[in-house]
Amino acid sequence: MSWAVVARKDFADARRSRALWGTTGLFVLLSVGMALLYATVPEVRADIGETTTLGYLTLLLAATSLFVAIAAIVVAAGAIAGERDSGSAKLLLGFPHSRRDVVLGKLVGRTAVLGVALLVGLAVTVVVVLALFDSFAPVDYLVFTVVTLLLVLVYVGIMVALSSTTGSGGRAMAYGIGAFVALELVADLLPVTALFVANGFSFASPETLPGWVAFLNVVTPTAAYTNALGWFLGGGTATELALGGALGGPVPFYLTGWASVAVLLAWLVVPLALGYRSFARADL
Amino acid sequence: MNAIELRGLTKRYGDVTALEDVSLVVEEGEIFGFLGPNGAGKSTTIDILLDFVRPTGGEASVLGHDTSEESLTLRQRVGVLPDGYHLYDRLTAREHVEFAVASKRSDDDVDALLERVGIGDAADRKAGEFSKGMKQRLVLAMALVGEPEVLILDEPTTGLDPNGARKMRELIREERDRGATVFFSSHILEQVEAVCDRVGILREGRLVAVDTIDALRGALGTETRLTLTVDRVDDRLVAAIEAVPGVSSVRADGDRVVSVNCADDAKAAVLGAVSAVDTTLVDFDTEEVSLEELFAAYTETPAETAADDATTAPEVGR
Repeated sequence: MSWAVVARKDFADARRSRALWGTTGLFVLLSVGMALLYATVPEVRADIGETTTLGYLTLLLAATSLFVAIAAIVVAAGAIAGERDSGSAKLLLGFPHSRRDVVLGKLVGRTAVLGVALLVGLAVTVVVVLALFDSFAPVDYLVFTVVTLLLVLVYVGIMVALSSTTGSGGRAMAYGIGAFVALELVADLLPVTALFVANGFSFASPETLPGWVAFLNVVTPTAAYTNALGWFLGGGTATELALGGALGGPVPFYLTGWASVAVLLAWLVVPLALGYRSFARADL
Repeated sequence: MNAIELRGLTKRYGDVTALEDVSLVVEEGEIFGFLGPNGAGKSTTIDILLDFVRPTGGEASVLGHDTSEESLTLRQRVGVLPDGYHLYDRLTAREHVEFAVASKRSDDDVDALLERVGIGDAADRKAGEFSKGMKQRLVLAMALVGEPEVLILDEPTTGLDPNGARKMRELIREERDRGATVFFSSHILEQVEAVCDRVGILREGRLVAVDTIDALRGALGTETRLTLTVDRVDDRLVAAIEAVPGVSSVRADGDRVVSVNCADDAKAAVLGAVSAVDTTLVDFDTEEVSLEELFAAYTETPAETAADDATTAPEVGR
């Protein structure tokens, strides 16, 4: 349980930093602000007349995933590289902690920092929802919270993994921003490009979406998160119907919410395993 | 069992050699001083002991544990004051030591440890506000957690005032008396001389000497410095003294003073040479080679400092 000692130290340290208070404050503003907007400006609700938890969460989802992706860079990109840069890694690893414990401890500690920001924001928002909305669906709210925490774990994991590949805090930050651009922006071009190539370099769109293209659409952490929530929130029948329509048949297993959870878990495990491998071999 | 054992230890970074074939045994219960100028490879050696870096060749062990294979067990039994560390600025002194206690799963009294290194009154202050000397004391307190069998201290007196350095030496002795082995590095021989049973001198990645300070002094020969005050210094006088066997260097300090480094038994011959060139000797003074010069003899170009004997001195440790 050596990682727990590292995680506790890390969280105690971060608790007093502006990073935690800043991210918490921002997320409270974001979630409460959107709840107020949703409750008071009818245009935001589109065609649905009444204010529902599901409608609000669908609105919050995109903003939350963007927030998590950016906050993870701020909170976790320096996790290991920063300690190596400053020299505190020598203090840390002078004690009987393995490098695996350090990676795990950092993952848990930094996830806790961002997780607290998220939980505080969502807890405060419940008050607004109860006061202003026509109805409140606790199960959907809980599902949203749990899946979002999984996204936090995944994104912090990616940042910790990148952080463990270098001894320079600045470079780790650059890697983090690079990963953000690749995953949030460039990855969106992947399915379109693949389809373009598969069609013999033509944009002729097929009548139904091939399954593998649909899968490429939900392969990034954010897309998998969105797909998983679409599947689990409010019973998920709407998503299933929409997807089935586009595919022209039943939804294959690899596009279900559970498959997306598996994709998220792969994003958690694979980068960390690679990052750890590099860290384990490195000269500090 | 040996406290620390290095066998043919070599470390290269690209084509830069930091350590070259270093072999050394530090016995249990001794205070060992690891000396050398900055950049000689002291920190690299310590980094290898703690598995911060991996050797290119050779092996190292602490208390019989291989530094790469059994690093966790090794670090459980060792206390470390690393070089170039950084504290967690937002954590207090107490939280730092608490982290050390939790990491070692020991049951040390945190306040007693802070008291012992002299920063008990700053226990609840954040480390970010500490002076270099206080940081050094705090890291020492962390190193003492769990009564380590081996203490590895990299330049422990850096940033300490003379009083703090003396306290540090006292603590090192106390730890040795408790039964611990102390391995500490320094680039200042005086820091080491006062407490060390033995020293090893590292120069450009090679171990050039391992012995007690007295033995090292003996190995260099009893070199003496003669300071002669005469009525007039001229080239003839300098040439006459340089011609005396056993004289390693002659330097004129102004018009009336000559400094001569020579073997102990050449003193009379030097004085004889002075009167042979009709110079009047007004006064003379002799002193033993200082520690600083001793150190320089091992770590600088031999010809400059301690002539004949220094060329054989590097063989002492082999």
